Amino acid sequence: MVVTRRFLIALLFVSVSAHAGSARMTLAVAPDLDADADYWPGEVGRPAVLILHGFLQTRDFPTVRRLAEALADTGYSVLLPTLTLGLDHRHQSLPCEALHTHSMDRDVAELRAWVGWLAARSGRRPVVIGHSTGAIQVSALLDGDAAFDVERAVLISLTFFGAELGPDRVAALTARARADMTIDADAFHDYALSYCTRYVTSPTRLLSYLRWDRDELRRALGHSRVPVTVIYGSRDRDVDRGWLEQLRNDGVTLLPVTGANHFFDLANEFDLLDAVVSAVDRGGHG
Amino acid sequence: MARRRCGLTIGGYALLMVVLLLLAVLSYGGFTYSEFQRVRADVETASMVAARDEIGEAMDREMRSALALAARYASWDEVMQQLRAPRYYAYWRENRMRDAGVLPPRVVDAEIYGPDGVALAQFDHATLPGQVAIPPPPAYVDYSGEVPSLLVFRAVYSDSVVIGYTGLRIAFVDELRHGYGYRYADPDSILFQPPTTETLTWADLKANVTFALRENPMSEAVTKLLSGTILNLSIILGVFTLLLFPALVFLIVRPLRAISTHIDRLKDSPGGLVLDDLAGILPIAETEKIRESLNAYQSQLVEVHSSLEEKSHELWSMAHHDALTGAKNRRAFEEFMHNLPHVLGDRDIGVCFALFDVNHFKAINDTYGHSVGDQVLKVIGGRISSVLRKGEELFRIGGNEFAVVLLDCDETSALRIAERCHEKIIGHDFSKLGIREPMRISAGLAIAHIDDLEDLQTLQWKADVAMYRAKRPGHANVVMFTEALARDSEGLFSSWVNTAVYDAVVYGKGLEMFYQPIVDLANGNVCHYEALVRIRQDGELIQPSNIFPVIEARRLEVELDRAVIRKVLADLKDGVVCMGTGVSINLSGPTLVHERVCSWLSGFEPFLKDYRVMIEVTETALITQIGLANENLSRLRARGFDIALDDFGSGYSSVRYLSSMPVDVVKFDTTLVQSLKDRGQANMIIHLAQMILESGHHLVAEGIEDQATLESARAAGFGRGQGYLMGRPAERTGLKRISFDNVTPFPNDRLA
Repeated sequence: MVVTRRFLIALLFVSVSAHAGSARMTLAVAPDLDADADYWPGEVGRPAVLILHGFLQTRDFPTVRRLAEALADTGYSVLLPTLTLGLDHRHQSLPCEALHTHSMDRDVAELRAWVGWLAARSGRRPVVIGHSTGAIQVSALLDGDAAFDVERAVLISLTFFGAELGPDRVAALTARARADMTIDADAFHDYALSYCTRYVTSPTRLLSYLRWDRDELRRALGHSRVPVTVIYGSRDRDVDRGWLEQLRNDGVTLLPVTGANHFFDLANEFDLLDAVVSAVDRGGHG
Repeated sequence: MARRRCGLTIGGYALLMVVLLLLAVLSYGGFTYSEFQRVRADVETASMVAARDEIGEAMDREMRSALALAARYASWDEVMQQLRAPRYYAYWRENRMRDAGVLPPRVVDAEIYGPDGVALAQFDHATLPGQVAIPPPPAYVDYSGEVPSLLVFRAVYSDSVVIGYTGLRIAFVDELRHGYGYRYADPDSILFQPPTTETLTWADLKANVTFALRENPMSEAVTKLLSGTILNLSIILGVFTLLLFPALVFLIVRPLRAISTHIDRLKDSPGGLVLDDLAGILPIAETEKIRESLNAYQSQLVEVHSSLEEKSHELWSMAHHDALTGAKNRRAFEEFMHNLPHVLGDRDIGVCFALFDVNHFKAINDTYGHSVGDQVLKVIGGRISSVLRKGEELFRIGGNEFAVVLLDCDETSALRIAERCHEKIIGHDFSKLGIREPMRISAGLAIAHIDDLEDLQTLQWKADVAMYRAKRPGHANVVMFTEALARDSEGLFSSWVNTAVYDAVVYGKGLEMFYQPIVDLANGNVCHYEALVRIRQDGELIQPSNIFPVIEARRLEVELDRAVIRKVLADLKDGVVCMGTGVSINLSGPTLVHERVCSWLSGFEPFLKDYRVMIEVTETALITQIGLANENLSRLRARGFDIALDDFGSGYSSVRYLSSMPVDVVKFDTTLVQSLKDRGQANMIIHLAQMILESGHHLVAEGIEDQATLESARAAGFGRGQGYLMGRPAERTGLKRISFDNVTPFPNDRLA
């Protein structure tokens, strides 16, 4: 891919993270654009795991941060990156109203870069875990060539773009973006995406995300060359159970966690860990 | 006389005190208010310093806040994003930058500069410079706008490399005013004076700040409270002070004035005035006590006044009555005489003044004692009073003198009343008092008419003249004044005679001695001469009849005797009296009893070897103080003086006296000698003379004026005689002549 080719992947430096046992990793994902990640080297022979955060969040988001630390403690090598979303060394969650110069393609490209880095670092294909929209981006990663570098995919609280808006608004929004694009593809407009009711971006970038709706995801996961496990909470209102059942039919493993919500917080933290370990180990054994 | 001190009234003092009190209150109020203002100014000054300090601290915090804001802005991811992709900067700056919530409202503008210091985009409405110097200046204050604003620039780093700069324009004034708490400064008053340049450092800005102090509610409340307190206190004290004056007037001044007025009224009508309630419903203990004391004093004063009136009446009675006789006294007499014209008024009536004198009362007194004398006076007073008519009063005007003023009375009536008084007295049996001698009185009467005031004033004098005449031997005991009596008594009552006698006695002026010989009846030789006093005044000779009343009236007996002694001594020295004869001197009773009589007569002692010096005394003079007189006479007799009893037979002629007296010679009075010619009386006189002769005395017959009397005297046994027949009293020149022819020297032996 053109975007992928544009990336110059280089390990700039490694610094010790504030988190115990982790190190901060910086990856030049574009000219004058560096991405940061925390890395926990694991035990030899244990899986390497990459965990991707959700929409506009960072690696400090609690769900992924706790999961990464738990897996690191288990002996896994864990890489926890933060997508730049167009911001150099981004370390803050990006507000909905900010200028969103990132796109789905660039996000996946950065993810692919980190997968390559982890594979190179650990010497084995990593298990890629995504949370929420991070799970969409992992799914998009599986849809390309990079799938060969991935051992397994674990998708936590999987959803798809447009789920919050409903089909009609998504259709209208898509139509408006396409119309805007005819005028100026790079001009910024107020749109809506995911939980952002005001999402400032260009129509091209908006459409890069909206493309990944339920059908596109089902297609991608249905054709995945690596095992995919979907972990979801029984109380998660953002997931479409019917759609998940469709995925199960397509060969995706579903691991529901009873009582958990979208973020698996507090009491369901260990259930999530158990589910993830189960999903990772299952693949390892398989 | 003590000078009266004039001072303010108590009302004046009260007013003065009130004025002073008001001045003190106002002064203290003013002083307190000025002190309060001074403290307030000090507090304000301290508050200004504190306010400036707290504003400075707030500005420091504001600067730190601005720097933190700039740091936050410079580290904002989206700023990084704009520096990485300035393509969307214009859109981001206009649509996103302010909405992101990173920049607070006081940041009025923000700018992002590239590493070359040029703004990522140029905007017409940008308030920050389009380009900044590299490196950018430190924060400064920009005065280009209406209000100053703070411009803060900061570098944006990426991996320790400056990738651009940010600039903020911060409107700090409102934040400074309202973003910080101020205790002293009024935040709304914080202003910054515009400088001469458009920019200013932050430090310089501090010096440009102006402000006002916050209204301190507590301070204002305290100020208001204190001012109110001072005002209220001044009003209260002022009102109290103003009320004090009427209170003082009501409570103190009014009662004191009432007391003062009451005391003034008491001056006009002392006693009996009662001072009523002074203060009404608000009595003052002290003034009430004064009032009660004053009333009590008044009450006591009334009592004392009544007592004094009684005492005064008693005293008046005592002062106007003679305690012994009950008759009115001299004072009452004088008042009576003074008031007499007023009492009589216009009535044309005759007023008779009767003056009574007890004869030889002194002899009675000395002989029988004062107690008897007093009883005599009481009897005589009572006797006279019993004769008086109703309304006529008896006055005792001297020791033994009584006076009666008889109104509406003529000469006949007056004489009758006076004679009845005399009869009443001589008819009284005085032997009950142990008095053997008959008591007699002499009465002098004078009549005047009440319309003749001058006559009335001389009434007493006339009665005096008449009474002296009555006392003369051989006169009636009751004598009515006549003009002839006045002429005879001129010596006593004439002023020039009085003056002449006084000058003669005191200064010896005009005093002359006449000498009358006492001769031996057997051979006609002069035995000695009796020195008789005369006074020559302006060539006129004053006789003894006029001299001695004055002497006796003025009690000049001793002085006269001493003058006579000096005069006779001088005559002896001058050889007036022939040697071998003698001289006799009459001495009065007072001289005889004087303790120095011997020394006064000692001047004669050198002459006793050549002259016979005889002291003649009357029995009246002797009986005054007979003891002392006899003592002095005995002493003189022992020194060689002869003693003669003069005028024997004119008075009491007491043989008892004669027997007890140290007397050498007895001179029979003229009345006795003349009685020798009366066959009825001659026998007794002859026997009396014989008895005296036989007792060892020499006899001198006085008043021999004719041959018959001379013969009778010789027949009666008198050895010596004195009278005009042998020689009249002659002055010293005549004495030589008379004595020259008849001188027969006395034998040197004593007459005995």
